[in-house]
Amino acid sequence: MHMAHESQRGPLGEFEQVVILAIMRLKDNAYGVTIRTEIAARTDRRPTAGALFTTLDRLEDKGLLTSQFGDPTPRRGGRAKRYFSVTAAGVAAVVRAQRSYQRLLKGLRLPEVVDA
Amino acid sequence: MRNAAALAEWILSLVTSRERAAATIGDLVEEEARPFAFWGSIAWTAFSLIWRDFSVAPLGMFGLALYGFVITILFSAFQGVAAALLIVYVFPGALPALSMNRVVGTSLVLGWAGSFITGVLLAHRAGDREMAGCFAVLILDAVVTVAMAGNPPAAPVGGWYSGTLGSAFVFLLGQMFLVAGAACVRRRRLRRA
Repeated sequence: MHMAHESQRGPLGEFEQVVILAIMRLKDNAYGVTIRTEIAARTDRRPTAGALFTTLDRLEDKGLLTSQFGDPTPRRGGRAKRYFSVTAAGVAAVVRAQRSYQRLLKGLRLPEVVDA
Repeated sequence: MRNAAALAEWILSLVTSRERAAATIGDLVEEEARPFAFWGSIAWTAFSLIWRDFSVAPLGMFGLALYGFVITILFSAFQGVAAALLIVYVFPGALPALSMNRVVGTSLVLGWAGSFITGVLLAHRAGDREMAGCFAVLILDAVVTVAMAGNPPAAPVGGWYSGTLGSAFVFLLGQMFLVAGAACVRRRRLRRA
């Protein structure tokens, strides 16, 4: 899998931001199951496993995530966990996206959004 | 569940690395996904990965589709000529006794063998995007088949294969043999890696 050049990455989609932020929150324990659980707990929506797996693959191919395999566990039928971490480019991409949101929100008074 | 997981892992390893496939299945096993959610996730993931390979290089995929399509046509022509030569020169006495169903059945079997070989050749040319190559051929085959639907080649009326469902079944089975050929090459590559 090749890594995309900075200029080829394009802006992050909304779900891509959610995934990156969930991985940042989970720190060293970010793998498929915990990422889905974290997203469900924080956003009240549970992404389908297929959507999450393909997004993780896409973000890794863009160079915004890296992954490494842990040890196989019996609970998973002897299969290893794939742990994800966010690269510096991933952090920069999510910061850019969030700044765009903040610029759009500036001056707006949305109910129940304290930081707007 | 263990057999289902092994089968699902095998399917996913056709479109991604063995390690990624195993980790993905491990997540689903750990979550104790119900059969519908489990297989839905596998289908979605496999299709998304194929589509990604396809969309990264659409022109290259179109080239692969043409390559596969030309090979299919060449195989069909070869089968027709070989069958005609056999009947005329080797078994001339058998011609009156041959039923149309037998002729069609034989040509179907030969066609599926041709699809399998096409899958093998296609996978060799597609690099590590074997399944995306098969998908490209499937799309082109489907387009050509639908385009010809208004003026179909003369098929014997009354046989199960001449109906729409029968034709669709024959078409899909042909694509399965194409995928099987490509899958064989993919598995050999993974064993060597």
